[in-house]
Amino acid sequence: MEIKVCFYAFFREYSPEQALQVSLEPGKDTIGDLIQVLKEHLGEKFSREVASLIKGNRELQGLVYVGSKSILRLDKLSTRLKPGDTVKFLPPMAGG
Amino acid sequence: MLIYDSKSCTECQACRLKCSFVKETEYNPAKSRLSIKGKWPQMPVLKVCRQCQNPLCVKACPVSALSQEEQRIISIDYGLCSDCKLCVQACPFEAVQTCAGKIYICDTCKGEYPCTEVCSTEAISKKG
Amino acid sequence: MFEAYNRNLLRINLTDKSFQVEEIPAEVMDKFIGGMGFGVYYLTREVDPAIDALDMGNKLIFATGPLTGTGAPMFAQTALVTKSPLTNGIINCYCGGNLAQKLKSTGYDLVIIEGACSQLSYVLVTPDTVKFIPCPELQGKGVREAEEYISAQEGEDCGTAAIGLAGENLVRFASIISSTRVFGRGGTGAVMGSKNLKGVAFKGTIGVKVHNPRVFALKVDEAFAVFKIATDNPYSLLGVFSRYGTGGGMSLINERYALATRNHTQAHFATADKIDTTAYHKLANSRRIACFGCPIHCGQLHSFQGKDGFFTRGPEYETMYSLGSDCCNDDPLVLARAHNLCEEYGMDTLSAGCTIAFAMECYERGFLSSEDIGFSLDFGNGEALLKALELMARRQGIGDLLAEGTRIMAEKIGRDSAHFAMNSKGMEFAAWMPQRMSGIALTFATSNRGACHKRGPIGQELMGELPMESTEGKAKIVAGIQDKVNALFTLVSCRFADFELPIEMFISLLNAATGMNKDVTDFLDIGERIWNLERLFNLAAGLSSESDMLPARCFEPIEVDGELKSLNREEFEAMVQEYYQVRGWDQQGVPSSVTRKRLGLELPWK
Repeated sequence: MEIKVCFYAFFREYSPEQALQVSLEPGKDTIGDLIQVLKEHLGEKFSREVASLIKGNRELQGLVYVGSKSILRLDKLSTRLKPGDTVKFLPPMAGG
Repeated sequence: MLIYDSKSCTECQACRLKCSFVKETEYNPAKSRLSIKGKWPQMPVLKVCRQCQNPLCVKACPVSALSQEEQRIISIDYGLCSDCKLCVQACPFEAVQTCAGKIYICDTCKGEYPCTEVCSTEAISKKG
Repeated sequence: MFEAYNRNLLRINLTDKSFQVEEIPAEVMDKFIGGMGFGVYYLTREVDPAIDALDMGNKLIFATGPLTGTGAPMFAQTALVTKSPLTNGIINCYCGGNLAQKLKSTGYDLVIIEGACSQLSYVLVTPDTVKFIPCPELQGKGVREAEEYISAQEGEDCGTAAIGLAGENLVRFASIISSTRVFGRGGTGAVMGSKNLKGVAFKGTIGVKVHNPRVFALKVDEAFAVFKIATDNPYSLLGVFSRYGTGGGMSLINERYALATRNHTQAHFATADKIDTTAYHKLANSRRIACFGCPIHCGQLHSFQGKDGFFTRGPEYETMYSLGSDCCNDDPLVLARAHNLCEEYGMDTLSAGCTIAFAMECYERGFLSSEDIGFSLDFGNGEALLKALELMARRQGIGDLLAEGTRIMAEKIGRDSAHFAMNSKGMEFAAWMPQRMSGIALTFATSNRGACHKRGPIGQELMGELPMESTEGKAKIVAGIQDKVNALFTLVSCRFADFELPIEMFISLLNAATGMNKDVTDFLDIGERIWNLERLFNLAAGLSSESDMLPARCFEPIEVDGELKSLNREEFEAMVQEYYQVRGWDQQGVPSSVTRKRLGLELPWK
């Protein structure tokens, strides 16, 4: 199935395109699966700084959104995606 | 040996605070053995004793208050020092600090360099 | 006891060119700690709340705290307390960098500046003396030139702070700048300008000792360890700040539809990513600069090369709203130049941007014409934005009106433009939307210094720990944050330290430095005491409960991802009433005698 992935702020450093169309195989439709697909697609930097950290890093999980909800409020890395979903990598709230 | 990477230095002065606290039990950059000269947006420069092979500060001292010991560390005899500041002028690295009538020269803290422990960017680090 | 203090204040009289040194009573150190506490204590005793802020009778109080100048991380701020020409109430304002330690090294914990110079001058403070130095050649000069001039005269080891043209021209939101950091909000630069004071310089070598060095050093190490864990995580808030500064990304705020755009008519700015810090890393040579002793180094220095090259320290996230989304400007170079203009002229980027956004809407509605302005002040017009800033600082043409801020502009323009003059108590909104976040709505309306964002539950509301829109329970939470932040600002802590350091650590550092024996309750009570003292001053200055209000736009529906949402006026007013109750104030928001007695507050001006 097809989903869209968008990178914002410093996450843009991992992908030359700000928005990507990604195909997920049937039965491999969780956020965790998506991260694996992106790892193959985006290379070493993403692998090192996002893919290998995300399992234990609550702050990083909080920055991955499906629609308007962070995966922390859904099913974390087991969150299931639906066709047409948009997954966003957002920076933490800024300001001060 | 102290290594300085000016590109990483944020001029926070945490190293200077640690130095004066370790040596004087007081937080006072003016009594620190290291100083940082920064004129933004240019790169900062760290000034600290480099344990020269031929120390010009020792040569310049008219009362022999300065001597070079093991590991080429400079030792100060405060009993002899008259605060004439000729050593301050002589050092080509501006590494002799002075405050309230006393001079200060880094003695490496037995090679431990506690100043490097508080650097948040590893701009200052120790080697060997 | 009190080893970490100098235990003295310096009183400078610019009119007589005299000065005097006074001891700070032990009771004042114990009940007000330092920083904001000292500033509010002395200002409320000595300045008549009814005077005009630009009257000679106003005072500028620069104050440090017991942790200033120590090795404890993130205590680099100087507090500044005065009466604000923007709000007519009391203001507390902060500047990082290296100034605080330099002030304290002269042997004083705080400096009270009174009267006015007969000609443009700067003041030099050393441990031995105070000098009053006329500097007519600095008239009209930018902040950088002024600070460099003073350093050249007095030595590179001085800590300096100066005003630019905006302060000299009494722009109501003029700032005071110290190297790479700013006393930004509330027009403190205009107060300094009204005193004909171009700059202040501090030159000393006195250090700071602590009561219990062994314990203090341990606590310092612990604090550094906490911050290291935070900054090692590139996805924590301080981790992002340490790499990208506060402008690390506006996208999350945008996703939550909480990024004020087009004078707060919209909550989403489609091209926000074009002006975040990563944009600057591509356009300029950038490096990080820290405040004194700080391991977060959130300061970003950008040098733009080329014929029209310049360098600027920022913009911060807040400026990415005020001179960015609020004016519909998505050009990062325009934003950087606008920021640089504010640096050179010495103006608050928040009030300047928000005022220009207001003017842009007035122009759009035909309340201000092309003849009035002299050019097309459209939303999104970068050139017009830069021109408006210049005119504002110079008080030329339309700039003379812009320099008054949104509240006075709305009064002069009339036509119910106050409806969309986004200020509370005259202080323009910071980068947060009361329409979208009820905690922000409450703190903007009730903060003593006006629409202050430093005292709101921003993180909790944005990240979903607290429901953004519901007003339930917000009164207690907001009052709690206001008190806590006040307490932290007595030390004087950076606002960001609170994001990682538990309150007990702040108190351990305070106790080990001073020999005090405060616990959490004592500490928060001090914050509450200061809040109430400010409130009493403001009430006597004429800021009644009517000023605990928001402009009408805040109660109108706003589009949030296809839906319409709004802040309900009745719920808001009920929330304010609940806030009064929580604070022990009556229904007019006046601290009751029971509350005043509990906090040990007098009313010196009665």
